[in-house]
Amino acid sequence: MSSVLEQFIEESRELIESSSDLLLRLERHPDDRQGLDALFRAVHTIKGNSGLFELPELTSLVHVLEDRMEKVRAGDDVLSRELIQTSLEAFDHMSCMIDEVETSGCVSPEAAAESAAILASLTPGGIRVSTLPDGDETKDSPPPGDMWLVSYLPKPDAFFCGEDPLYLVQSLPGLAYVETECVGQDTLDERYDVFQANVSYRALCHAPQSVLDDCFRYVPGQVQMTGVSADALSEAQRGYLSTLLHAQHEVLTCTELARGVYESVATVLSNVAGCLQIPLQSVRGSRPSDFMPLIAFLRRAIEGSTQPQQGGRPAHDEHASLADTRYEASATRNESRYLKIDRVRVDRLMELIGEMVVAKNGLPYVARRVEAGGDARDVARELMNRYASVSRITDEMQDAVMRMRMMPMSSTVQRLPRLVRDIAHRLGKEVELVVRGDETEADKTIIEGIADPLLHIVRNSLDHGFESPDEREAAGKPRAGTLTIEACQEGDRVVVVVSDDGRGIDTARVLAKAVDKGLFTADEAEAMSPQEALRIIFMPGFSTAEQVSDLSGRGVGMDVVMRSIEQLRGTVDIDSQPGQGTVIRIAMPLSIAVSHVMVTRCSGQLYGIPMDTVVETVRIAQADIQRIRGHRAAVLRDRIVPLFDLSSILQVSRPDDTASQAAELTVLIVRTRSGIAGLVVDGFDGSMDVILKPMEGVLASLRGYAGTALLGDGGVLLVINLEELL
Amino acid sequence: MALIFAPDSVTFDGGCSIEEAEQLLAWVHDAVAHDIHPLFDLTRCTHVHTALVQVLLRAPGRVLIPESGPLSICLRDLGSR
Repeated sequence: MSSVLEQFIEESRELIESSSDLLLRLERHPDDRQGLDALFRAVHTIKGNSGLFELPELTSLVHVLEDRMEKVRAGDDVLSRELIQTSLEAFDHMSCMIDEVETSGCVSPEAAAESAAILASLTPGGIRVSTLPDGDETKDSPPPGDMWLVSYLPKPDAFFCGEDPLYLVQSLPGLAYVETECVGQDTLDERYDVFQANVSYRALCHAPQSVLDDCFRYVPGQVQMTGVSADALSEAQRGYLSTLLHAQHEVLTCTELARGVYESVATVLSNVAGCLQIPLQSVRGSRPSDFMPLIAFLRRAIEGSTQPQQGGRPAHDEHASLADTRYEASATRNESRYLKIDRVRVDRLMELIGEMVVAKNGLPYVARRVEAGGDARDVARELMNRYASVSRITDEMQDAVMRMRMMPMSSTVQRLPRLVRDIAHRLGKEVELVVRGDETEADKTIIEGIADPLLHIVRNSLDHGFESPDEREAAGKPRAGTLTIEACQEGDRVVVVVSDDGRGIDTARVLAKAVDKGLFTADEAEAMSPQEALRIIFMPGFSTAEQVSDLSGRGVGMDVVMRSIEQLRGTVDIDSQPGQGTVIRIAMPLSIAVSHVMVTRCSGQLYGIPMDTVVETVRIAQADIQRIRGHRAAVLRDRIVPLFDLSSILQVSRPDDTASQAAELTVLIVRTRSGIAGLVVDGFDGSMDVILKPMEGVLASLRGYAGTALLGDGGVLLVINLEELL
Repeated sequence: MALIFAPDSVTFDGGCSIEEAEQLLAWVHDAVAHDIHPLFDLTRCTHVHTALVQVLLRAPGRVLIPESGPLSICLRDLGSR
């Protein structure tokens, strides 16, 4: 792909996105003059850019959009709800076409057809632009009356002008019938010239004259068009002919066809055409499909209209779910290959590189001092100095690179207004979306990783959380619900809170369902706190929706949300008050590239434990350890903490069993999804920042490890994934 | 090569351009000279240039045309003679 096209794709996506946002804004504030101007500019830019490439479908669509916007700007048109809806559809479709261009380099025929349909609905006065025929019933039929007999006699030297008459005829819209006739030389003797056109065409087609004129614009003077109509016939005659045609159709649809049937049908059709002043000469065929288009054409001409139109635009619902899948497509695509970086941040990195070069140049100087036989202690001090400055620079470099990867939340959140609007419309609910703190920044992986879970939570909330406007009114709440998405930074974590003022989660129902599904026994359910009951919705295999709706009940539940957030080392908390709403709080690390780990010793080997799971380190006297059903546990700050031996969990043999026999056990208290636990280890080696590398190759399937990190001495530190181990 | 020549048949495969017209004409001449009643199979053809169709219109033999679609409508005369 050329870089210009790449740039066009990237830029158009941005423009389309901002245009959709502007449209939504204009829907709420129709008088927003600046918004309208910005929208017009965006559309204009896309149009201009698309003209550089062979993308007529895209260009014509944007062109019509631009026209409409221009009219609205001039005050000749109003930005009605329908116009906004169609424009949004047009933008969606444009982004689909751009996706296609990116993957396959061109626009597929289906997309082109849909483009034509949207184009038609955008064109004022509803002028339908017919799509290319595909042999059978025309999809988007022009009104009856546009029926033509086209006679086309190509010039003898047509081939030398690069023309292909057959191709031209073949691509006529609404083509129903073609007769080919030899012109001039009849036989293929020695004098026959293959490069001379010697054929003429007579075609019947159903399309507006303007469209046909356009088709034949390069062969003026070689084409004659005669309108076909049954106006000259009386009502009764039309009735007979119609019955006759209907009978032919019936005959041809019979499964068993006698030999003479085709000739008889051909004669009838030829005569019917004659009544319509269509001089057909070679009506014949050897299979039903040879006659069907002609019968349909003649019937349309005689009856004035055809059967109810099929095809055309898809039903509304289909459209809505289409929009939804499109959203998903754009969300996944959002993991873009490009990173937009503030120039200042790049400059900062450049400066650091400069400092690094200076620091590097200092090292040969130390080497020369060693060679000259300098004092060992002095040299060591000198080396440590150099080390300190290199260390400082690498720290800063790391920070600078991390900053480059930082993205604002808004890139994920900006798609939500459209989604909320569409889904709420579809569900007949009124929901206002409030987004706060979307300027909060986090690492690219985090921001992109949170997109899907967030989308799912929002969908769930719209689907199950909010009541219908009437229910809300009855409950004394405003008709329109409020969905709030708030992002902020708390320490080294980014927190996203999604809250709604809907009906809240009915814990009794959740528990009943969980027991029903066999996730818990009735006794267990009885003993659960409301908090624990709420967390059930994150369990795999649980869905409270009675009916699987096409929105959230797609086989992916909240457990997927939980899992994808945990993969990013984040946590999800939920709180809900019946009748008042639900609050879901997602906390994720700002960056996952650098992890802070606690280094522990166990059986002579070092293991890293992610710092965010560590609660505290304690020593517990053997005497305080109690055995509950063979498991060891200790009471710590009035809580029972189960104890696990890290070496036995990891199944590594202990060279000497002194540690577990010692008077005091060294215990690392960690927090896992299932609660607090204590890990018995041999000792601690402090904490450190490491760059975690995931397990690769054959080791990838190894469970229990989050990855590996390189230690300063070249050793490998295995970092444990506690969730998988405990 | 979109035209596949066999002793007594020609298969039109995919898009068939005007470049093949002379060869087709020569083949037809040859067939006529040997008194062969040829078969022209256009069922797998997606496009055929007018120059080739002109030859087929004047050549003896049977023509198989695509099942459906605009090309099928355009070649109906050939397929049903």
